[in-house]
Amino acid sequence: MRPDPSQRIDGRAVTVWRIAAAGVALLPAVAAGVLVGLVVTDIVPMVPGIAGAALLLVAAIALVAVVPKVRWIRWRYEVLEDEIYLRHGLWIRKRTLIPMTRVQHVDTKAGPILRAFGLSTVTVATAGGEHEIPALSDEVADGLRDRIAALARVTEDVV
Amino acid sequence: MWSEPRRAHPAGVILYSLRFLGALVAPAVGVLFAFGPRAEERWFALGTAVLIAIVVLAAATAVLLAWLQWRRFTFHVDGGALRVEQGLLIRKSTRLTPERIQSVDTKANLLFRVLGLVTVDIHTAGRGQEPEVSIPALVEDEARDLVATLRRRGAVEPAHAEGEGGTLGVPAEEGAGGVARPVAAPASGPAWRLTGKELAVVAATSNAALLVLAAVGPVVGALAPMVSIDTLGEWFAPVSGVWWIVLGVLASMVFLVSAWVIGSVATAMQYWDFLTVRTDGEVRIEQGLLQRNTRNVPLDRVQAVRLIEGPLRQMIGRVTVGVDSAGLATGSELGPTVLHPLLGRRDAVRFCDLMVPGHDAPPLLPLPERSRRRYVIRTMIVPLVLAIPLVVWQPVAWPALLVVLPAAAAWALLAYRDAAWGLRGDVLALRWRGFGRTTALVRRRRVQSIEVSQHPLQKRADLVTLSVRVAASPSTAVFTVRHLDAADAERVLEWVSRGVERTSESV
Repeated sequence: MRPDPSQRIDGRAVTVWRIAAAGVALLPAVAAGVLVGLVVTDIVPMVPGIAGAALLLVAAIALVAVVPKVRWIRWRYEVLEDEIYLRHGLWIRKRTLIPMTRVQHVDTKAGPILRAFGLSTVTVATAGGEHEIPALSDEVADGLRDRIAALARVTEDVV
Repeated sequence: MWSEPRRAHPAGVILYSLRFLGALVAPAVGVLFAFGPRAEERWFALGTAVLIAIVVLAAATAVLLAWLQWRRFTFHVDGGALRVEQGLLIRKSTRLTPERIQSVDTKANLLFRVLGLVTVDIHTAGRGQEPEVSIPALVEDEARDLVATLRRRGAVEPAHAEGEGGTLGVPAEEGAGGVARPVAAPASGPAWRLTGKELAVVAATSNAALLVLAAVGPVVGALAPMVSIDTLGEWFAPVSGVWWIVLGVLASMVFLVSAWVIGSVATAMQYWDFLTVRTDGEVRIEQGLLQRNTRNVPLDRVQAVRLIEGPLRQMIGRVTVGVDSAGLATGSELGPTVLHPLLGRRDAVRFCDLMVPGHDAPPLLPLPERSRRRYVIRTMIVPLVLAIPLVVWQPVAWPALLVVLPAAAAWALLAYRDAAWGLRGDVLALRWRGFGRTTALVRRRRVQSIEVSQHPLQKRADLVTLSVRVAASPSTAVFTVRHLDAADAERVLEWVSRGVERTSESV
């Protein structure tokens, strides 16, 4: 098996993903609160109610505390002369290879949270769909974008 | 002949009118449903009169708009490029150089065929399903001349290769054939024609019946509550006991058979007199009974070849050959463009060699023994998850499991047996079973990206899922084989990466 891609994405990605996950985690957290309320008011029996609330709370905490960290650990990328090599995935581990000759255009983009941290996502588009390298520092992202653009131009080929 | 701006044939007004009327049908039905049932008795006559007036007015408006649109549409050839002015509200001016034109297709409905007219659709890259320019009506000879002019190859009269039924035609001699036919290609080469007998098989083995059922099902479901059980009871009062079951079985059989008949007839009309011709750098397909369509697939736009074996056709050893092509979607159907609907397996090889050269199928290798388990578990999970609560809730339903679970297991084993891969030279073959069995042939330079994925259960067995993406219209085509040996997938990855050319036989 070929060696894993050498580059990691920016460490601040973990914080960004945690903030984004907090919004989602609000849902199970609120549900847990409601469940506790129902137990207190004797609508739901004690044991299943508390167990369910605990489960929801654990899920919410895992979503914020664990998942972003593991996702960051799993994310690797490498831009070689002839190809872009990505590896990521929490549960299902994916390795993607994009031949440089197939790259049609490359962009950087950043939403409000990423911008606040000075991070950008690099988007690589081929005729067969888009691929993303998320959460790179702005300088790295810009450099990568220009490098891929230059490499893709050098190795120009018809689709 | 083409240097002055000119309009399309006046029959274009008919085409545009039909299009406008078609757009009005859905809102009209809505209005009918909204106001129809509530019309009171004494207002009935008035209501009907108003309704008729609205219909007449709408039709008149449609024809008027169509005429205006036809009047606005002018085109001419200017310095080798096609210039088109069009647009009722939004004026659009298009200039198409020959280099930008990907393919030219023609179509003719029954009326147009009687009148000797065609609609000319000109496709460019990146427009997806819709043609860049559609000239609504042209006399066939004019259409041919226009295409020849645009191709800057002079007005070469297309010669037709009339292949003997189902067998291989020789390249046609100059001027042979000459049947009036919508043609938009400069020259002809080898041809392959579907015989009447083959057409019958295509029709009988198509899955169009499923589409008919899918379309009719909701309608039946909506109408069913209107017939009350009591009414049914009155109708079938003399029927009793076991005869109810017989009646039910008969009724559903009639239902299924008529769906099959309708589906078959529709398919037969679609594939009527199906002809595939390899011309200079293009494959041309002509098909259709009432509506006759001609499509051109440029060979340099072919991204992948697919050999598709539907369940019925696989049983009789027949293959459908299709191609995924980029930047143009010449068919109304989703998925690959059908180059030939019915070929024997051996004929399919010869056919591909002729029509889409460079896609020789490499020898196929099966998946390892250990991936069978993964296929079975993967396929059984959904039926099991659904079945357990059902049996707990309704224990009487347990015999259903005796049918569903073995069927799922059999399907899983079939999917395992059919999954395969192969590599030779610059061609990758991936075979998998969805509903039918598909073999995709992809050349290395057409691979847009490759993905190898592995979930924890696959990791334990050293298996992976391999996906290859190619460009295609209207969306990307992804070819996936599950539970491949990890080392085999790695070889495919390296092949994409470095073009290592090793034959799959050499393992």
